[in-house]
Amino acid sequence: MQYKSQSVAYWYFAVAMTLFGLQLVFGLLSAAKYLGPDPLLYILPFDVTKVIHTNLLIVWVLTGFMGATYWMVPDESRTELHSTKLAYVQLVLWTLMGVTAVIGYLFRYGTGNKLLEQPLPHKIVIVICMLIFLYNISMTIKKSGRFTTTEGVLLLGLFSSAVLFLPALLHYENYTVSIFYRWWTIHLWVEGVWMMIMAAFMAYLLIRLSGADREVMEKWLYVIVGLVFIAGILGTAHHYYWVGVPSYWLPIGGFFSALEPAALVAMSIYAYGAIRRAGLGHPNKLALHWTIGSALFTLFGAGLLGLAHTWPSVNKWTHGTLITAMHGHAAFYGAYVMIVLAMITYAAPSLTRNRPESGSSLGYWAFWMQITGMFGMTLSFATAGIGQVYLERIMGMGYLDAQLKIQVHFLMLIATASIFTIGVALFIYDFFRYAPRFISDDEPQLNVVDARSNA
Amino acid sequence: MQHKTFYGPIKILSFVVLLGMAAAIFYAFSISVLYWGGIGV
Repeated sequence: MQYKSQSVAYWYFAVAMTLFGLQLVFGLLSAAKYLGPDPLLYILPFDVTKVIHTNLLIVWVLTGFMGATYWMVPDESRTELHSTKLAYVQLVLWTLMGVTAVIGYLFRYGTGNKLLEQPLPHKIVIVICMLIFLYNISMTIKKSGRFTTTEGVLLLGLFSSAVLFLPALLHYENYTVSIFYRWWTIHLWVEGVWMMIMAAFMAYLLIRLSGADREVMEKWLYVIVGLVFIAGILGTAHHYYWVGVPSYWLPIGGFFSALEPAALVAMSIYAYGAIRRAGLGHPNKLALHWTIGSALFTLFGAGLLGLAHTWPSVNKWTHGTLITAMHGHAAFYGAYVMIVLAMITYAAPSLTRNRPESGSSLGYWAFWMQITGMFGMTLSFATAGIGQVYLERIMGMGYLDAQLKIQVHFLMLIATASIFTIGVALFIYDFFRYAPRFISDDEPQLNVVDARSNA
Repeated sequence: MQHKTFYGPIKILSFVVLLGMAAAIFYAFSISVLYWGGIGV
């Protein structure tokens, strides 16, 4: 760690990890409801546990993005953060917003707009936090005068995320109109501007971990961003199938969605190429696992599994079934969870005391158990989804009758989700067991810098 | 701005969350075993 102010990232990561654990609690509670008469049915019904599960995901991933940005920007711009005080104020506000939103959901306090259920006061706090965040980052870069392409892509992604949240502040009485604009936020986040954030973190990690040439890596970054824009924006239309909008969205959605994996293929080639060219010299092999793993799992979950049901003639059968859950779990995990865990794993040896830079064996167990568990969960959702489509959509069986027939796949889901949860628990334990480096004035400047930090 | 006093509470909170995760696994497994009525196809 070259700059003292980078240490604010530790607290963002700590909050993110705590919320990640909580997200899985509600995921398991949701999955259990598919298997029997749930004793918690009237206290925590499925709609509540699912809302909390998905909202916690969004909040903790964004918390991770913020922490990773506070780590990366001083490193790239070679300066201290503009204001650590603002960064802490932002974290406190953000955490209070997240926690009170979850408590609100327990009491059915929410807008009911899927994935954007936060009530208006919470959304206003989100906007305030984003403004503080963007101001702090922009001023840091302005102060230093050094602005790299990697930072440019990251900032473009973060600014665009903030702008695209604006449609979420509006309320529409018409359900179709509401869905139409909801995807301006959600789709353009996860299949658009968040991909830019992810690509920027990946470029940063590959430059630092592999020592690959910055110029080459950043040129590839332009290609990836270009592909994301070409396919991702009009790819929003794959959410417009049969939701009450004109039918011309069907061919638009089909064509541009089919192009979406191109950026992810490019990203995987990019990651593999970097490692092949520059070797595996960096001691933090665990961070390298997470980085390369993220590129490959994104290609699998977001690219291949998205492509599997994005074509309108396929999607007319799979729309709103467990096939969507299959794609959603693998895509989010590969693209966003793994890249945040990669940034945490890269920064952790500098942020905490006595942590081995090559990673602990617990860290490797966490990695492989999560990969195994998430792969199994994806297959469970896939088999359950295929069964559901045939029984319910093709044979015309009632929803609950079909659910009984596919129940066996939920046994597999719970088994593999448990493996995944243990993997996450190991990561959380491994993160918290080393105390952070508390910097005081009488302590010498920390200088745990890797050999390639000036790349 | 960092305070040692925050590390203790958040570490304890993380352990509470870890316990919650273990309880959720146990709960989901229990429901699976208690109500599993066969393959059902």
